[in-house]
Amino acid sequence: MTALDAVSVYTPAFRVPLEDLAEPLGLTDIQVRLFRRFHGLDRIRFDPDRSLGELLRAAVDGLTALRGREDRVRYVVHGRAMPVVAPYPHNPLHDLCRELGLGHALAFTVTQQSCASGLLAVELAGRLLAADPTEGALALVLTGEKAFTRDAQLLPGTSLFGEGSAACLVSADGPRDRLLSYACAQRGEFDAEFGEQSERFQREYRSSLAEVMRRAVAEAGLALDDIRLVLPHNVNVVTWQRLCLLMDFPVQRVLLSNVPDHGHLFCADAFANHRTATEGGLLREGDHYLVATVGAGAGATFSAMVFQH
Amino acid sequence: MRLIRARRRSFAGDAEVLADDDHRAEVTAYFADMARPFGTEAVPGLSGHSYGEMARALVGAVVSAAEPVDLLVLAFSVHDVWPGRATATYLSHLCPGTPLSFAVCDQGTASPFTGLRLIRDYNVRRALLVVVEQACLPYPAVAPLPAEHRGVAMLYGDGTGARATDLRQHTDVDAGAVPDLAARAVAELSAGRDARVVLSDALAAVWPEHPAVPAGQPITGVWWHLAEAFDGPADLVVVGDYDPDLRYLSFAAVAGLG
Repeated sequence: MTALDAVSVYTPAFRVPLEDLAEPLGLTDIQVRLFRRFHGLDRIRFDPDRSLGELLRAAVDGLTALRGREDRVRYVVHGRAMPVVAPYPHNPLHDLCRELGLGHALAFTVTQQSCASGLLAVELAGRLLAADPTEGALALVLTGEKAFTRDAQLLPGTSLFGEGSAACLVSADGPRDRLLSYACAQRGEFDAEFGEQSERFQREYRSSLAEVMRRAVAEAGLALDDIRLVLPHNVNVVTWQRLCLLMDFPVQRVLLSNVPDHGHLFCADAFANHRTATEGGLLREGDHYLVATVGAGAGATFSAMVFQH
Repeated sequence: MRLIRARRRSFAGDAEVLADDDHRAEVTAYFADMARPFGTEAVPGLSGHSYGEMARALVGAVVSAAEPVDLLVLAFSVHDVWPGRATATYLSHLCPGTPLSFAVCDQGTASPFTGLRLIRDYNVRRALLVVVEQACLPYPAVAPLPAEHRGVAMLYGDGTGARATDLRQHTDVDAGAVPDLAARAVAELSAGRDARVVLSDALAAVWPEHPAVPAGQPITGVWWHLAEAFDGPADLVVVGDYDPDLRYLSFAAVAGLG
C-alpha cells in the first residue's frame, strides 16, 4: 500500500501583502479587498532569489529521511500545475536529480491536471513502485513552482498563487501515512474551447469537489465522520466554509490556517498543510485524513485522497 | 497489454488558436516571462502548433464511441504553443469513457515509453497513448527541433486480435554502455523470435546494429514507424530510442503484427 515515508516543505520567508500585488497584477482596490476580507488571503509567499530547481532543492534539503537512501530512489516525479515552465530543452528537474545524486532514477513531470497534478504524482509513484520488483524501492515526489507570469500568479476572482515547494518520499509499503484511496474527476468541458463557462464552473465547483471527497472516503471503506482532518488546497477560506456547509462537515476540521499566510502554493498546498498538521499534533496515530484539491484553469480536475496516519 | 490500433498524422501550418489576437497576445507575454530568467528573449511572430488540436484529431481517429477508454497519457518533449492549457484534461472530455488523463514530459524521448509503462502498470481495460511534437519555439532554438508537427495515437487494451507488447527502460546510460544494454534488451524482448528492430536516429548513432527511422522527428520517430508497421507483415517489431542528454535508453516491443 502506497505510503508517505517522509514529507519536507519549504516556504520562503519573504511575504508580500496583497496590496503590493495590486499594481503588477492589475487588481482594483475592490478586488484586493475581496481577496482579503471575503477569501481570507493576507500575504503571499515568494522567493525571488531561487529558480525552480533551487526552490525544489530547498524542500529536498529538508528531507532528512532521504539521506543515505538515494540509491533506493527509483523514480522522481514532479507534479506540476503549469505544463510549460522553462525554455526547451532546459530541464530543471533532471539538473536537480544530478545535483542530488539521483541521476539513476527515472525522472519525469506529470502535469495538465493543474493543481491536482501533485496528488496524481503520488498516485503514479505508488503505481510504479507497486509494479517494481526491487526490494525497498522508493520514489521522490516533488511539488512547487515559480509564479513567473500573470497566469501563474492569479486565479481571477478566486485566489493568488505563491511560491513554495515540497518533497515527499514515497514507498510501496511504508508504515507511516498510508494511502487508502484516490478519487479523481476531470471536467474538460470547462476548457476555453467550449466558451466562457466561469459561472457554471463556480456553480458546480463545490458539488464536484464534494463528490470526489465522498467517493474517496467511500473507497477507503470509511464514513465522512471517520475523517479526523481535511488538508485542503489553499484556494481561499470561503470556498471551504461553503463546502463544509454543503457536506455537513465541521469546518474546524479543515486545516485553513495556512491560507492567509501562504497563498495557493500550486500543487504543494497538501504537503504544506500536512506539515502543519503533524507539527501541530493535529493527527494522532491511526487517524484518517483526507487531502482534497481542485486543478482549475483550462478545464478542471477535482481529486481527493484518504490516508491513515 | 495489447496494442489494438494505431493512427499517425502530420499537421501543417499553425494552431488555429493563434489566429485569435487576444490569445496570441496572452501567450506571447507568457513566453516572454518564461524565457527572461533563462537569459533569452521571445521572438516576434509566434507560430507553431497546439497539442490540443493535434491530439483531438488523433483521438477521434483511433477510438470509436463504442470503446470507452479508462486512461489517457499524453507524451511530449518540445512544448506546446498553448502553454497554460491542461490539454490532457481537455482530451478527457473528448475521449469516449472520460478517462483519467494526464501528460508526461520533461523526459526527452523517454516520455512515451514512460507513458506506456504507466499504462501497463494501471492494467486497465483500454488506455490511450498519444505522442506529439511540434516544430516551432517562440524563442531562439538551442537544440534541434522536429522537422514537422506530428502525432501518433495508440489504443492499448485487451481487445480481441490485438497485439501483446512489452518494454524496457534504462536510466543514466552513458553512450559507451548503450551497445551492451541495447543488445540485451532486444534479446529479452525478442525471446528467440525473429524481430524487426527499428531504432531512432539518436540510438542508431551510438548502436548502428539495426535500421533507423529518418532523422528529424525526435520523439515521434519510432512510434510513427510502429504505427506504420501495425498494418505490415512483421511478426515482432521492437522499437528503441536513446536520449543522449538525459541518458535514457528505452525499448518497446509489439508482437503479432500483420
